[in-house]
Amino acid sequence: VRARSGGARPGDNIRQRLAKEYGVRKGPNERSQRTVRGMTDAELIALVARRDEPAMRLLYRRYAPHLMALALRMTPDGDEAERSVQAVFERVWELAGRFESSRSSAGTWLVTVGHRLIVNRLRERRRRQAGPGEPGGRLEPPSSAGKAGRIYLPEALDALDPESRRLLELAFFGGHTQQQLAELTGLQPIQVSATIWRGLGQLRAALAGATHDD
Amino acid sequence: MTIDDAVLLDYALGSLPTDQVEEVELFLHAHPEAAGRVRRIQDELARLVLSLPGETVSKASEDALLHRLRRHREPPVESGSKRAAQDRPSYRWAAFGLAAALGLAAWLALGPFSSSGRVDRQIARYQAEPGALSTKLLTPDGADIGTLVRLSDNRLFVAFEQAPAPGVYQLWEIRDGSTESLAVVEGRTSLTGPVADGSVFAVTLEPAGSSSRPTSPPLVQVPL
Repeated sequence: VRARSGGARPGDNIRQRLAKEYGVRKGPNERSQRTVRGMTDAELIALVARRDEPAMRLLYRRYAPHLMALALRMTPDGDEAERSVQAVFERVWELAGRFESSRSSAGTWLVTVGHRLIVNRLRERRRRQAGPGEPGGRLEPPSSAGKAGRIYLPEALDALDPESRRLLELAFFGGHTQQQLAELTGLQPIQVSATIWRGLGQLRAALAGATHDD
Repeated sequence: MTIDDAVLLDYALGSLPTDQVEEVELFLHAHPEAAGRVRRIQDELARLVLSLPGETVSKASEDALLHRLRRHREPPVESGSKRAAQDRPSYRWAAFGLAAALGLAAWLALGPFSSSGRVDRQIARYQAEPGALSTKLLTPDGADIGTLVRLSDNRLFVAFEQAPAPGVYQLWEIRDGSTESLAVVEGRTSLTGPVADGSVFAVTLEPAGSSSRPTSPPLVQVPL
């Protein structure tokens, strides 16, 4: 993911003038965004582990739009999606010290942390809606409408056969386990599993030609 | 729990129930081949997410997030302006006392004899060694209790934020289902012998002395 923002922020000119005219010095967390702009995601996470705010801000700008799109796929409530993204980055702030670039790419790590947190919030909301003592495993199709009501579907999903796509979407965007999907669809667990594996194979082939820099 | 392909698939898809995640992660650290398969799925799902057209996120949200993170890091400071107006002499003495206390604390923190300064220098020295990998020791609820530095020869340097009281910290290596004590820490730091790749480092709080086996739930577990 490339840095998407690079323009001057409101107030930059004022800060520069103050620094020049009055010798106002920058604190440890007022480092210019410019000094982190060229850094890789992994380098930014390492700085976030040391509580570096400019690094956190840039990481947010790079990934928050994608995580917002993910959250909107998983919940139709735009406010809840925005709160989820905020919570994801609070979690990233806490966990950054655990990131190991030898085990995972930065992008995969961020999406995995974010997705898991959004799934947990989704389940919690389902439980609250179901009420105490009631199962909260209602089958919900994942949301497909963005904030402006447009339909957002990853193009790679077009390559999947309809059943694989349905189950993969319900598992990944809906947060349902295979066992839940078996109970809710009436399929055998082994059929659910095999269909999702098939869908992942089709997804892998669809993504094979795509490029992604991290 | 039996960890089979179905469980690993739920884990990779992010749909595994939270209470089973830790067990699967321990399994994956002991089984690199399975970890590789899971990682490939996670990579593909991440690419799927990153292929979604980005949604607009407001600048206000970004600023609110940074503001909250700043507050987490720094304890709130009471301005006390109303109180000052009502009780100016007391406020003056309190302010003087506070300034003196802060000055003394700063001097102690920076001074050559302070434990905090000494430990910080030790951490920095080990972190600066070629090939060293540093990780914060975070409890499951996110509390930062220290720093782990894994050196290139697989020894571990561990520094805690505070000495344990009461009892001792005990460091463990979990490998192939067995748990071995690495060290007992009465103060704040310890340098262990080499640990094995793929094992798990854990910390427990034990009664004074040491324990042959962990007697309390781990405060922290870090895959190595």
